[in-house]
Amino acid sequence: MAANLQVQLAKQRDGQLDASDFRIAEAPLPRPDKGQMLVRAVYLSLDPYVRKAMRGDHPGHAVLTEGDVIYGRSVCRVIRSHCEDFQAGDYVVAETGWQQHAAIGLDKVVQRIDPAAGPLSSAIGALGMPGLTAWGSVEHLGKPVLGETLVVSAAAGPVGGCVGQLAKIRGARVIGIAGSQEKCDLVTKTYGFDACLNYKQDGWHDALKAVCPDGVDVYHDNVGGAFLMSMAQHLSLYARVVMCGRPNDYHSPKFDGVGLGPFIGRRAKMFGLVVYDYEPDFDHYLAMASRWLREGRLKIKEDRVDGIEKAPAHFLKLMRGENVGKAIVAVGPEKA
Amino acid sequence: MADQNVQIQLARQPDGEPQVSDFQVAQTDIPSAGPGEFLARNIYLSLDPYMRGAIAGRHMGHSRLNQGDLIGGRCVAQVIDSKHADYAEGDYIVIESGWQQYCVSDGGAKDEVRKLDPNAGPLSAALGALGMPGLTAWAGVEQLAKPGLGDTFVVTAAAGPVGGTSGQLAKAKGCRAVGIAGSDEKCRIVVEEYGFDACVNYKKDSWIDDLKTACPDGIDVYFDNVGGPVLDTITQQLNLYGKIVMCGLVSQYNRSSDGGFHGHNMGPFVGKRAQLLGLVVYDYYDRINEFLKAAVPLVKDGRLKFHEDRADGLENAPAHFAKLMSGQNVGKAMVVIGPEEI
Repeated sequence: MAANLQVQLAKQRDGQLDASDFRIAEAPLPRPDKGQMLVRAVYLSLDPYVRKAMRGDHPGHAVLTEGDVIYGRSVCRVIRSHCEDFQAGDYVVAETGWQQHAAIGLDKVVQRIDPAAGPLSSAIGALGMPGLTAWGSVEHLGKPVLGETLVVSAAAGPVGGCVGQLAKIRGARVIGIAGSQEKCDLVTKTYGFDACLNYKQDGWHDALKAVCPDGVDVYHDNVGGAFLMSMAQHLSLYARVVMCGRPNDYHSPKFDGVGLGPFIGRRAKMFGLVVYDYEPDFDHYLAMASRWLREGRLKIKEDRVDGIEKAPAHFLKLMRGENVGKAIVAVGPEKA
Repeated sequence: MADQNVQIQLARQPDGEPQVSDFQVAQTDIPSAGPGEFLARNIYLSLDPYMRGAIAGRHMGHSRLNQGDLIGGRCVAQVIDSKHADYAEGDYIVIESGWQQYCVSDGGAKDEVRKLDPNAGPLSAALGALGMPGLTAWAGVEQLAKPGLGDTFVVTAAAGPVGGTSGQLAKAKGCRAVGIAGSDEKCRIVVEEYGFDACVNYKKDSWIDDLKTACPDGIDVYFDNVGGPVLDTITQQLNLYGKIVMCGLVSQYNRSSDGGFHGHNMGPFVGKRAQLLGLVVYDYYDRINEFLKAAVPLVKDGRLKFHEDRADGLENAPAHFAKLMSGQNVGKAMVVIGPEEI
């Protein structure tokens, strides 16, 4: 059988990554022990949190050292199983790392995939962790109600896109913020937001004021730092702010500081969101989200490349904000 | 009655902590009440940290003061002449009169006049535990954080009127109340007079460990009167889903025009799933009677105590304010301008 291609860390360091931080290596095909199974990655999920996980700055992730496989979750097909509840041909989302095959125990299985719930790849997008993140934000923290306006940054991405679409389903008015006209078109035309503003255009704050004449009632933040601070001016009194992502803070222990005075002035209620808290809700969310997906009320956009060796370049593109939609690496075919 | 009205004006914008030389004393004619107005003589002037931001125009609703402008502030006062249907000679009121001996008002919204019930408690308490600071504490505890039985409630500036009242309200609701203050003397007041379960002196090197010892079950609610790096430090001891009432940013009020801004790393707040709640007391003005209904009985039965730091004479207000802004006051800072009765 062929060897197992994997992406390893070339060296541990802080700062913006480049291609030299990764290396492609061939490892022997892993053999599953008792209580383990051999899985083959089909779709690898690329997510900004991986950058801080590599530095050991993410719950449950130790710092990586040279030669370690990069952290990541994949949609996988079970090849051989020594686990009672799984058999060859099953699909799971699992913590495999960036590689073609992995021998994993049940502790690495995030969820079993029901292939009828939606496209397999959506299990790492709208029907997976990004979707559950959006669910936690909209249903448990921000809770926009009829007549309210929700604004979300990184609106073209899987979390932002789902946040806005779930808020629309709840009856809120939804405005996205994204970094290009192409992304804004995706947000309004495909995701169906009421409006989307390109923050790279001068005057976008004024444009946001114009589309939110009564202020912003819920702001879901995927950016952090100075950008988050600049959003305080738009909040209505007693607005809710969900703090979800801070990609600029993930590269090193340095951070983009946030002053709280402007938020006190708006009497804001600010929440920290950690998606793992909502895992007990997952089946409930999945049942609804897969129905919305079938009904066309929840739309997905993916940014795919083929081949595990392309993962580093695709990840760097994600961290530069150049991806449009959910960043995925197609590692192998869905079927055997 | 004197024949001149003494008032304190701004001499120049303070840079950093305010100095006595930033203020000037001036004499003006005593105003007289026209139709629909009343004249009041001030008895107690309240000194509050927000005034530092108000002078600089950094506090909401206050524009930056210029040289010669009257310093804004709230007083307990007595009506001494009235041509206003709702106010009679002898009435005690709280009024936004500024740092001066006399003021005239038409009772309009800008003067924020509130009549006092002299039986509710000592008159001066209307500037502290039974006034704005008390209302602030009540809003943070009862309307925002809503701690439950057995929760650990931590508050900074615990010897002050907002901190002291918030901890006593939390204690009255069945919480463990732990104060943080800047001297052993303040901590003694917090524990012995206010009845907190513990108080930590943050000027001691061991204060972080002392706080851990005082909060063996972690912190469920942190009522923040300080902001800045202390907020980051205390957040490390917050329990998951803990709440933080963001009430004052005293550490930021004195900052000079050229910086001193503290940016928070929001990562640890997210990791704690913290809820940060912005508190602005102005939103609760129209609920003051609801607050007094809760607080007056606590004052009467001795569960809500307060400690005042008084200076005598309006001319001493600048020095007393400078003392407050350097954290040297112990308890509610106020200036006695005149006697309660004449």
